[in-house]
Amino acid sequence: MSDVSLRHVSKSFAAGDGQVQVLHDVSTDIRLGELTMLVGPSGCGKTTLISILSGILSASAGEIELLGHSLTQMNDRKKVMFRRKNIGFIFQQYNLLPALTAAENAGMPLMASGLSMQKASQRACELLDAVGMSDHVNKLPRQLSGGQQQRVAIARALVHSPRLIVCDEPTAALDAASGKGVMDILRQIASTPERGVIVVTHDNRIYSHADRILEMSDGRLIGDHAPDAFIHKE
Amino acid sequence: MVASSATMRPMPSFIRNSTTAGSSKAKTWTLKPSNLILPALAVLGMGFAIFTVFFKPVEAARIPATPPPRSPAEGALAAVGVVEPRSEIIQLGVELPGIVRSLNVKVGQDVTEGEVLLALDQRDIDAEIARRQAVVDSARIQAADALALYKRISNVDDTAAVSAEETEQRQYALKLADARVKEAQATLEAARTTKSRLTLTAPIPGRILELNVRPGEFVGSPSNQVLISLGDVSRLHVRAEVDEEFLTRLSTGTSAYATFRGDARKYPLSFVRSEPYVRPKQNLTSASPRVDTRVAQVVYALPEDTRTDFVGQQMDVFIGSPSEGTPK
Amino acid sequence: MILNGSLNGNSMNAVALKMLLGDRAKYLGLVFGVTFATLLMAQQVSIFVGIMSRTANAITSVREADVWVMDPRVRYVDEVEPMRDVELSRVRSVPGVDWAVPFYKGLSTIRLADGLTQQVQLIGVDDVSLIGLCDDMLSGRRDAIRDPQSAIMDRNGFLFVWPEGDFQNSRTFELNDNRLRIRGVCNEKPTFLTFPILYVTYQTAMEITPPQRKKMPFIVVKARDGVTAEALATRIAHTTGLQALTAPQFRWRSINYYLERTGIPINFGITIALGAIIGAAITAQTFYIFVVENLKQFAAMKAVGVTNGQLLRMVLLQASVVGSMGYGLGMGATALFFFATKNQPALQGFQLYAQVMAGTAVSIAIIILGSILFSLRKVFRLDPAVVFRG
Repeated sequence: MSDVSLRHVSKSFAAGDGQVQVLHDVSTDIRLGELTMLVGPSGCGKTTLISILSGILSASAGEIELLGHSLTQMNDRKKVMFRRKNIGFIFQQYNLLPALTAAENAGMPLMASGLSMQKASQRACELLDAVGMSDHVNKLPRQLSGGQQQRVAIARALVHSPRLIVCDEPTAALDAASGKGVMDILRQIASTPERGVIVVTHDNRIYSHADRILEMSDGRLIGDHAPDAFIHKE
Repeated sequence: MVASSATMRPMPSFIRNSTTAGSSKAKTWTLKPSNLILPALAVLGMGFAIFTVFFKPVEAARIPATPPPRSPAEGALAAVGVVEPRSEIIQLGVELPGIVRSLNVKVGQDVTEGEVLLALDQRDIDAEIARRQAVVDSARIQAADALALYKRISNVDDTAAVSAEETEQRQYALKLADARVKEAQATLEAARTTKSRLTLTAPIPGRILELNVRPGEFVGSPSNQVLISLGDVSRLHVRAEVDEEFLTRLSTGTSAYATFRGDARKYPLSFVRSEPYVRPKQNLTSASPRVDTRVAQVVYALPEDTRTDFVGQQMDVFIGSPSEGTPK
Repeated sequence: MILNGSLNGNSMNAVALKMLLGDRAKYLGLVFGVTFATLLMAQQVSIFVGIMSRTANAITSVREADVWVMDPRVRYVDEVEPMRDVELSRVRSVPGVDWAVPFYKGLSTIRLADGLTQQVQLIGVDDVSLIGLCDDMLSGRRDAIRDPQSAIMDRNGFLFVWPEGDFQNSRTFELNDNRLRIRGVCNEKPTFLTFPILYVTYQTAMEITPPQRKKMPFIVVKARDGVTAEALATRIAHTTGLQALTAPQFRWRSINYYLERTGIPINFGITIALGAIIGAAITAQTFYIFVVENLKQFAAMKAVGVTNGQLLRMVLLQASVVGSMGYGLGMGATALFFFATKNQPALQGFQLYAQVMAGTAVSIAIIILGSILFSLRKVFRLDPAVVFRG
């Protein structure tokens, strides 16, 4: 059985007076307990693909099944509720709220579910401890370095214990050492069988952290590699 | 099935502990005092605005210090009246021109009928009277002389001694002398009448209301001004002018009240008469004549105990509406 | 307090407040934008209302009267169409009239001791009751007006004619070759015409003004207890054929005349509209920018599971905090302005009205809500995917 399955997924955007097809008939399965990387040149449709499989964008055609639920049959509100419980996001630009402390930022998904700010922050602290940010829980994002901010973002992605963590270029804005630290954490998350991690990247320094690499080009999946094979192919 | 947030899965065991032992504490967020400055100012400002809007000094409706005339009856006819004596005002003048020599009365004095009010200069007429008295006296002497002459011969029958012609002559002389006496007496009487015309006496008992003459002044005849105003103030009347438009609403039997200006007391009026002639409004209330309508004048009597100090005072007269009047 | 309450309650409200307070410069900009808009609107509208009500102050200052009777041609209080004296008796004869007294109002020219002339508004009040004479005496007694050759002047007019003040020093002047003396100075709301107000008795006014067949401009009437002013006015108008208006009716008739016939309201209306538009633009723009600049944060929140409803509540909370604070500050500033200037002759009698407060609140709320809803459309239609695109 597969935990995430995409069948014949296509996506096109209206552009000018025509249509631009971004995804062409993508079919694949992603398993929990693995760190799956999605690689390919800019504009090949990687971001569109993860937006669709996390329910942020709707597919133009095709079937998506996520943890036993059919995304294509959910309305927008159900998708939000589903996302709130089951998916954690990590963005390239961290996207932390500048007015909130690290703990409050990390507790945001819990607050959205109705938990009080204090309780949410308290729980976020446990995760911030876990990602090595114990000394910075009460700092504002502008007082943190890029790597530290991304750790806060990871804590935010984990705080509601989601099954699937979706990362968009998590290391692109970080130096090598910080990037490696972030990938180490993601690597560990993916080592538990009930959690899957999907990482979109074109940072070849981190390919070695993957369990599996899906290669995309021009909106099509063109390869499904083991990391060692892919690194050598590069 | 999707796990609900309430049954959160246990913390992942994969994450190694951070370098610092023990878990950190998140600070509870509270508002800093500096954050409260602006709201406090806003509350103050709002409070001040509300204060100035809702706690401004109340402008109470003014109550006039002196009440204006109120109509006593619903829908009563309003008219303006002037107080006058029962006799109306008699404006006395002199018959002959002359210089005022003596003035025997003061303003406000009560006089009896025939009382001398003023006298003009009478030296001329006194001299004339004396002269004419003398003429009468001399005429009388002449008459006595003529009578004596006549009597002396009237008893003599001797026609030779006294001729009939002589007797006749003396008889005529006597008649002439008698006639002269009568003439002189009549002239004297005329002078006396003239003298009486130089004094002014009261035609009725009453009160001197106005005195516009002083001793030594020349007064003409007919005089161009009122010398003395006299009126019978034993009972006062009020002469009300009712505008012609109200005449249909006016009936003699209705009750009426009058008030003095600035005095809330109501004086009940009793009807005396109404002037039959509807005349142009004389504007009793203002010095300058501004004729604007025709009015009927109605005279009412004030109660007997009304103070009688000021004849000519203005009154606001309210004549009850016909509906509530008692028709006679 | 609202702020702390939301901290304990819905945590997204706390997030909203932190977002708002987090950027101090923008926060202050928002609050002062609303403050400025409030001040502009409330102050301008109040001054306008004040000026327009000045046109009717001659009516409102006769507080004893319920009904004004005048010639049917009179359109506003400064227009004089004299009536026959007989009309006073006719009005007094109308059922329901408690009392009716004549009231003279007209323009005259006085000659001062130094030969200068000055236009004045001559008011002749009933000799007996002194109805219509101001009662806030700064010097002298009201009764003195009954003395021969005596007059009372209003404070602003007195200061205009004799800037050195000194109310006690009684001044003499001539009016149509009649000598008059100021026997008292009183405080009265200034009228639109701004000329000094000179009070004399009605009889004095009759004597010192040029002779005319008809001279009585107004009759002021008090209704009996239990008779409404409106009913009485209708009855007087019907019975006498004159124009009878209740004090508020006459007031509005005067105000409307100025509104319709003079350029003042239009001019002022434009100023107010400009002020309101500027205030609205500032507020709307600041709010719009505030929301738009936070779009990325809203997108991130949407991505982690914050619903549109929660976002709407957050923005509404921010708006109501900013709006109420800006409104409070603006109203406070307006009230302070009128408080500080209440003794200036130019601004005397101008004040903040409850209706203006309410109206400003509504307009500010509409402006804020409008600009929020306009910018929130962007948030609602916001594609959370934007956060992926950096």
